Amino acid sequence: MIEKFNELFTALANNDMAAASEVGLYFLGMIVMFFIGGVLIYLAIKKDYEPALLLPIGFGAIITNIPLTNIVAGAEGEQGIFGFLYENTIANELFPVLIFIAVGAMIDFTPLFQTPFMLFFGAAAQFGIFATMLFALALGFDIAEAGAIGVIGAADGPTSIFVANAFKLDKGLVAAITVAAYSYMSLVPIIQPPVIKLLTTKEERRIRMNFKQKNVSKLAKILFPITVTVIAGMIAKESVALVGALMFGNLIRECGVLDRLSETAQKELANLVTLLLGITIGTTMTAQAFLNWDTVKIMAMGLVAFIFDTAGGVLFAKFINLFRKEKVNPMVGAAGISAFPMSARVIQKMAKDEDPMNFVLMQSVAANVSGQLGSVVAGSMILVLIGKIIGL
Amino acid sequence: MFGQGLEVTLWGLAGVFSVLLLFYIVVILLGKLKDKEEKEEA
Repeated sequence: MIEKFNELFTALANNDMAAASEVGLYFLGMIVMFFIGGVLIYLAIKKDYEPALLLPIGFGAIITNIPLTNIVAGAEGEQGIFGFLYENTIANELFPVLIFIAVGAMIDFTPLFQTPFMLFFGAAAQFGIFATMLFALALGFDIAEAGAIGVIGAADGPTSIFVANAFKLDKGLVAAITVAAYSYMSLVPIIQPPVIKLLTTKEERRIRMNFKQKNVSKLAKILFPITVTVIAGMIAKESVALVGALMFGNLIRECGVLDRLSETAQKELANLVTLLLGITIGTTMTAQAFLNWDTVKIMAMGLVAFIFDTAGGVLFAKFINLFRKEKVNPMVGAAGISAFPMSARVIQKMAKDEDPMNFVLMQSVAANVSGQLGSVVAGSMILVLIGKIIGL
Repeated sequence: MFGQGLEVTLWGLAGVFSVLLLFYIVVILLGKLKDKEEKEEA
């Protein structure tokens, strides 16, 4: 810090305005990043927006912009502690995979067995990924960047990080994509309702759906993660890391003999990885890497992704209703995004607001867990298809 | 580049729907499995 001030005073004393403005811009960047870090911490604490991630990211953004800090890289290019963590946990995709094990251990697929049809909403609500990719291409991003930006629409932070790293994007872009993915995930209760209301009538929002409770055998719950992994892996080998980790987590949950491991995955593993993931991503948010128009565009694209995800699910439900005798409440389609269980709760609340006796929670939860499968599959599709184009 | 994006979109969406269709079939088939106790009760 003192060295930078010295540089500034020396430049001013020598009337070297070019050098002075360079150092001045450096300080301005630092102040802006301190502010952004502060905003993320504020949103985490005050608004409860994904606090487990936004708070560490915000703090990481502050400490990495302290002048001449060596937490990421030293003055002579040697690796700092967070540089080491980034290279060995995020760049090599270890953390996203570990998070998936934890997420898998948290998911109960029972509602899906009770209303299997909801799986298709998990596919339809991935429309935002592809629409956003097209928008990003139109804004001048290359195909790999556009694909990774589109995956923000997976509403699934680990998938976004996984794809962005697989395409070997700059750290600044990975950081912007991660911040956008987690920020908008927390904004689902604000983003989804107006989009749903715009695309549905009051009558459609009041549609009641039957739900038949049925027992799901333990054997089915054990075979499901294994079968899904094998099928996904046979179709796209690139999906094995993501789908495999998710389903491994689910298998230890459902097998009935690894309760301790399941609990560890859901609590300690999830907490520890989230803690380190957040602060490590935050430390990549240097002013030089983060403060540019690409970041602004990516943040805007995140909103586009969530809007089109919601619209994709709702419009698909309306389309399905043209052929179905037993109508689907189109709002349930919007729960096909991966933000679990927030989206399902939003849909149930909206249904109750329209008709206090309307219960669509189980269908919404089924669509929501389908969205978790759909988002991983869509992320894998982006990896496969764009990977082929860029020769990955 | 935009053409490539459209191609990725079409194949990508088709891929997601196809894979989830397969998962749907898996869910339907596995849903028919019954536990021993249920079988005995039946």
